[in-house]
Amino acid sequence: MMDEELKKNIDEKNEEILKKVRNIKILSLGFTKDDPNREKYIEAEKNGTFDAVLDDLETLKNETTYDHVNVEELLSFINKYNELINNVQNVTLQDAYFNRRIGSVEFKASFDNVKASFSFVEGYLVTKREVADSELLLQRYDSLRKKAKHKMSLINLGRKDNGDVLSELDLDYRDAAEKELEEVEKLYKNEKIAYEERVKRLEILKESLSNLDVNELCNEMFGELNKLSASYRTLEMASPELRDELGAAIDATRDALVGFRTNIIMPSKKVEDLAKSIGLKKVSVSKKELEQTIEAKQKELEELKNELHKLEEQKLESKIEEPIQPTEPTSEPENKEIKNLYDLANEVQRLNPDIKMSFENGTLTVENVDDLSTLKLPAGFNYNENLGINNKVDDLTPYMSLPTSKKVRALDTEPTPVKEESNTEELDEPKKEGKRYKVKKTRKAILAPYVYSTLAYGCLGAICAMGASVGMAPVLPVALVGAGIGAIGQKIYNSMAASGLVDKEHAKERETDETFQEKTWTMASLSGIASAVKKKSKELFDILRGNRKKEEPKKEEVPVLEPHKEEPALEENFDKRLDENLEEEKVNTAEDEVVKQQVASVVDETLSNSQSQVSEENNKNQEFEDYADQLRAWLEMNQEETKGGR
Amino acid sequence: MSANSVITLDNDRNCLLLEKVEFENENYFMSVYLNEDEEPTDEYIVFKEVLEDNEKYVEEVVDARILSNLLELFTTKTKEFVENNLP
Repeated sequence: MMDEELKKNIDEKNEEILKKVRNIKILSLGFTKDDPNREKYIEAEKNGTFDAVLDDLETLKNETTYDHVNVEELLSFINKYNELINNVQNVTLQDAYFNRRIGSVEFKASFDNVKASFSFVEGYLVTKREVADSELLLQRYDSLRKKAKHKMSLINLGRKDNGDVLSELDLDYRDAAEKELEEVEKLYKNEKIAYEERVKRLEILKESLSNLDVNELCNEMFGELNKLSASYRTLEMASPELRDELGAAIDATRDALVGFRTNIIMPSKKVEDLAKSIGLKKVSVSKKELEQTIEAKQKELEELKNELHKLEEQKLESKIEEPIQPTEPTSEPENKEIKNLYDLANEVQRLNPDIKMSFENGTLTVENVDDLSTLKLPAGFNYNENLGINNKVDDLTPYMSLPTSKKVRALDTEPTPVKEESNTEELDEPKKEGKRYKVKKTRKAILAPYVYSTLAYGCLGAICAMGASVGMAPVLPVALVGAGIGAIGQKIYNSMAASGLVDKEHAKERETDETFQEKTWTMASLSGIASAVKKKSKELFDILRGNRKKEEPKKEEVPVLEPHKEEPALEENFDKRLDENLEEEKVNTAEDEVVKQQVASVVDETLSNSQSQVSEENNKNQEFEDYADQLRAWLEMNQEETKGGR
Repeated sequence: MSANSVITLDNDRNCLLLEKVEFENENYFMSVYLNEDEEPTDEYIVFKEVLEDNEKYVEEVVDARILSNLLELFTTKTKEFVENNLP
């Protein structure tokens, strides 16, 4: 068979299956196509709304107790209704005074109408029950009749065996059996007549009932009940309590009717109207017949599916039989049978062995792929952003959809080859990637100059340490940068010392006592300092600066550096890591030695400066101590306020 | 993203972005992690800004070549700031 012809056959078969599935669904909902309304059916199908409405019908049916006004529900309601109506009657009957009043006549007339409302339906239901009971009885008599006949045949058999001679006992036994059979036959015959009469009556009632508009009937009953409800208040009765009792009985009856209409009739009407809108009508066959029809349709559906499966196999075989290019023998075997998403994910992985993938919670995650549409996919499958990897043909044909996502970045730090973009030697090395984090939230931060400066200074030191640990030294103009960082540190310290923010009192302990704990420059305290500087102390600083300039015009020439609490650790760490790194990589060239010495000299110089200049600063800046003390006291107070505020 | 801002990462850690520089058409931030009390820790980090599928990401920079270049740029910027803003 030609490929195109095969494809056409498969398409036709798919179409047929879809129609069959839809028909089964329509039947199982208790509907069938309504030929006079065929246009609506065709229109809904053309608009593509048919299946949506059918789904709505199914939902509505599942949500409500709808079942073509279920007979049992109806009967249950009628019983309850009769009981309630009798309650009303009982209340009025027990009041002799009420019965003698002329006004009671009108009330009684309305009451009789209400009571009779469902008698018609009730008659049908009673007859239906009688037919069912009669059928059971008939079956029982039939069974007894068969047993009696069997007994008679056994007796006759015994007579043949004994040469037509029966003992006296046998004769008695035969007579009793004959009598029993005669009685059972009579019972059966009578019951059969009664049964047939009842069935005829039921048919007539059923035909009448089919024309009954239950909704209309309920409306009429509401009218009568409202009349009762209005009139009982003006009735002359023996006691107010008795009248209240009557009112409660009427209200209960009306409530029951409201419930019946809301739960049974309205959904039923809604469902029927909805079905009518797409050219469907209620099935007129019995439930048993409907079930048989559905069963037969399902068998037909199974056959169609088998036929489709065979056609698809033929198609697959014809594809496999296609000659393979001898020069490019494919290493990819034909697609395995894909029954579910797991199979599909496995198949995609098989076709893309070099790409790392994971299948979790029904989603395929693909790593290190820029464009998912470049993935090799099983035959018939494609990729799009909304459906992921899918084999969707159209909206009606069932399809498979595998949600597929790119992994933002592989968490392992496997080196990613760098594209040939740069001429620098360094770029030939693989570019290392660190962990990636998603930014959930961003907010502005107000950073005062001192906060920024000290943190930035700390960060630069940390970058040095990071660089040392990842082999930055060979490519870093360390001395230059180191000098730059040193200058920043000096500037910060100078500025803070000039502002009286440096704790010089513990300089000795800081140098000699290893257990000495530095005062932490927390965000709060630094912010307090900074905001204080910014808001209230500008004048003080100006004075301090002015004095300092007067007293010490060559301030910049005297380097004043007390390391920040992190500084020794960072530099130590930097030096240590640099050493380790250099040793590990065995970079023992003269150039490296020079670089190392330069770094060491910068670090040593910085450290020695920091040690010597603390005492120098103490001596030289004595004249500023008064100002500094004032400022420190004021800042501490401000700091307390800030902490208290937080 | 800009400097002088606090970002909350998907691991619920807050990070203060101190300085931003551009290098090879990418934005990099010199930053410090904050503790639960929103105070700076001694954990410093350099991030690269990544925008993907309209989502913002930051990627830790560990590449030696990039770090060395960034160190120079950050040092220059910080020096400028310190000189211009501190008394």
